[in-house]
Amino acid sequence: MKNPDINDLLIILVSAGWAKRDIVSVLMQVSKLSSFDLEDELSEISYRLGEVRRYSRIKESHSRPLFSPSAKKIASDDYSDLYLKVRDMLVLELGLSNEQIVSLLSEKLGGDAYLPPLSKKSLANWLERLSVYYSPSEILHAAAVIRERFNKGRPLDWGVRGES
Amino acid sequence: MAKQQQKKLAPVMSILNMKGGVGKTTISAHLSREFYRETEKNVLVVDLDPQFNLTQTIFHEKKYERFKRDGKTVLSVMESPESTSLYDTHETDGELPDLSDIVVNVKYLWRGTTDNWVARLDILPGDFSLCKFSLMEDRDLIETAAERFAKFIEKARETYDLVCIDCNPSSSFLTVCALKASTHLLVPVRPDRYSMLGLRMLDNFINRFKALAVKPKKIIILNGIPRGGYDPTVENELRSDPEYGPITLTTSLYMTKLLAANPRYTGFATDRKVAHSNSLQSRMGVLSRELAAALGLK
Repeated sequence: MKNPDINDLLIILVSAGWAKRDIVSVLMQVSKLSSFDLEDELSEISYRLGEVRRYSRIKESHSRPLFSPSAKKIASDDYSDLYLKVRDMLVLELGLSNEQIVSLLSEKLGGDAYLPPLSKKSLANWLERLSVYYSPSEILHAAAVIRERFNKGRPLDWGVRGES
Repeated sequence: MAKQQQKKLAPVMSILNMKGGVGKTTISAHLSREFYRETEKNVLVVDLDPQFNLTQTIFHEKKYERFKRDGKTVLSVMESPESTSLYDTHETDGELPDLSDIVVNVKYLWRGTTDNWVARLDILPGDFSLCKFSLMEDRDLIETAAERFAKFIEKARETYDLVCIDCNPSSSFLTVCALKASTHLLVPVRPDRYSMLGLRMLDNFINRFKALAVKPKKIIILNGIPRGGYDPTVENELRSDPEYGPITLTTSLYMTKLLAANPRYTGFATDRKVAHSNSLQSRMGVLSRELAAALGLK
């Protein structure tokens, strides 16, 4: 892609999990909008996002821009499912910092077992090193329990476990 | 004098969920194919589902007819190849056939020369006639079949590094045979409420199954994750569950047309020279490594 702005936009959409067909369809619709309508839509979205921020648990200091240099990497296969899922649950959804995640996961997995310290490298690297001591499934389970603790939502009509 | 080291028996993994349509057969076929390639282990896949879809996925009809004629199906394990019909079997135990006489080699890896085997993927084809065992009421007859199957799996555990059993989605005699022989259960679930019910039903079935001396270890795999507009609510609940969460593999399988049955292609989807087959192969490879660790085969 020659135009870097379009390239960046496409990376955002792909990173957000959009299917190729959906991206093409939306871009075709966008191309038909007038610049006036487009500005109107963008203003509306900015307003709604501001409202969400005000009332949600996500602190401004922890909210990450949806697009950043690191997000470029997320679109690639460089990261494990473990990192991507921990990032979705604890960073994007709860707005926790790397230090908070390390502290909470350590507490949850904890006990007397050795836990590697958070290096300057990244959370992905820390999770990779943690996988030496705990299975990825156990780490992701701990992250899901932390997410559930912070984010109590409406229970499912048919829960995983049920009453049996 | 140094003691002769006894070969560790291979794990036996049944791919099972009480609900149909969760991807049992697709996962049995394609994961075992990548597992063998990725880990360089000897793998045997047993098609124990009377619908024998796994067999049909991999072999053309003409080839399968030849296997049937030569007794190279799982029916030769359940009963000795004497005169039996679709509706009856016999009480005589008979000799179990040799593994090499009934399994079919589908893939192999070698180094240097063709006689220097590194690993192989073998399949014991399925057979529609297996359905008669679910219809029989005579306990003695089906006990004979169950004993033969158990003996066969024990022999296979000495020969292979991993034995996979593709099961049918019900609590039938065949499921019981698979459960008794298994050290592990790989339970595919889709992130929807119906699939989760299948998981609970399987749990109830196993917990109430008194004849099971040692309960097989469960490993859960999420299958059919949509690539766009995915709502992870059910997945999050599964992963936070104290029993199911720690045994759910982190690597999930996404929805892909490549894994759907194709009337014009017979074989493994990852072997097709089409778009996305490389990325599917790579994901199956990652999944294989995680599964190998969960099975203690790393």
